[in-house]
Amino acid sequence: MYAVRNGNLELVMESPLFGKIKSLEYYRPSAAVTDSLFVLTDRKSFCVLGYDGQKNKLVTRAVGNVRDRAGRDIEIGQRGLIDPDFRMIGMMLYEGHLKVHEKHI
Amino acid sequence: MKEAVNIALEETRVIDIKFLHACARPTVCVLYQDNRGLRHVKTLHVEVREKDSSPGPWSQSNVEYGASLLIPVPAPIGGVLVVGASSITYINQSTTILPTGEAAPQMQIQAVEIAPTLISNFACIAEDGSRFLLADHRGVLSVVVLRTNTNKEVLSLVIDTLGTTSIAENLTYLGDGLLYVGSIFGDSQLIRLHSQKDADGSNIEVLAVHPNIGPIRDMCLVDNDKQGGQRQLVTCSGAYKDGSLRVIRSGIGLQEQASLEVGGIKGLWSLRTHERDAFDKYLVQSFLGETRILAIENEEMGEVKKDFF
Repeated sequence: MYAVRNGNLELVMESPLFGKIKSLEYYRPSAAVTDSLFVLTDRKSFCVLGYDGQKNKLVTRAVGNVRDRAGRDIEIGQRGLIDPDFRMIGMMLYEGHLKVHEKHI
Repeated sequence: MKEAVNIALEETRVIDIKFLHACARPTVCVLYQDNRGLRHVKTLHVEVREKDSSPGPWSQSNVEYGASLLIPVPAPIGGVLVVGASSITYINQSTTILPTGEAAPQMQIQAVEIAPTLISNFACIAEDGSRFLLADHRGVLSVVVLRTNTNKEVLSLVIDTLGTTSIAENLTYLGDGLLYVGSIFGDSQLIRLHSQKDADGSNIEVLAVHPNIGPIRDMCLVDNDKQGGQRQLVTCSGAYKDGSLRVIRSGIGLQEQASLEVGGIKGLWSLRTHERDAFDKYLVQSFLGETRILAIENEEMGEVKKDFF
């Protein structure tokens, strides 16, 4: 995670993540002061992360796996999409289906 | 997190899918290809309760054959940009009041031709959604401007080429003219966009670079001296226009703080007043014909004139 300072990028913190990241989308939950980050990996695990500026740490707001038993992986590549009004999170994982979750985080 | 729900899409081959802005209900825009290879755009309302989708406010069939990317346009303009290989089309639906007093939906479509290319990434750089950066497969960065009237209806689209960056895998606009170009074939770059073009016709100034030695197609170990002292690894890094030969060696990175030319110096030692002092105080410089001693006094270094010998 980098901060933009004086026209340069300064490393703020680093955190390892187990998985190949397929999608990173940030959004601002209605009552929040900072954005949340939605991360989707190639094994269809996801997490929603927040940042604690005081402790300089990532905070896990949600975590899980959205893999289905049957389904053909989508050709165009897995991706997450967030409703601009933050009503739901969409995930294109399998051909022929859009997986959605009504956000309550 | 509550259960996620699968919504079936009847479209056989989805090329891109994005949520639209400024819709009363969650609405996605889908760019898809049918069985005959023709591409179309349709909108769908996402109904989580019914675990289904219903037709959205509009659809547009037979968009450009090479249409590959949807860019949802933020409020107050709304709608979507359909980016293809030779054109960019703006599509939205507005409501007009007919002479009878009824409200009727009306499609707004504006298009602009572009030089043949494959645009893969975009970034919104204006809060009102009137400007977007586009990056293509050659690393060419362009801007598309949506010209609107006072009702925020799009009248025309204008394209301008800004310059060349590393081939972009991702574009992130950081505000204040700063853009981060994430690249997998070349070095990632932090660039500043200037409104004026420079002598080469580019609006781009590279501020910082994050080196990327991958993807490595081939590499070999080079022994500089037979004593096996400094071995170097030469790699075939990157791809396409960002391909390069890189030389990698192990060592300690040095950060130069200051440099001063001191002619004839033969030796240099640091000394401290007492063994338990935290910092050194004296710098002894040995020359051919003399020895000089410098001392740090209140953050400044000056020559010490004492009789030591």
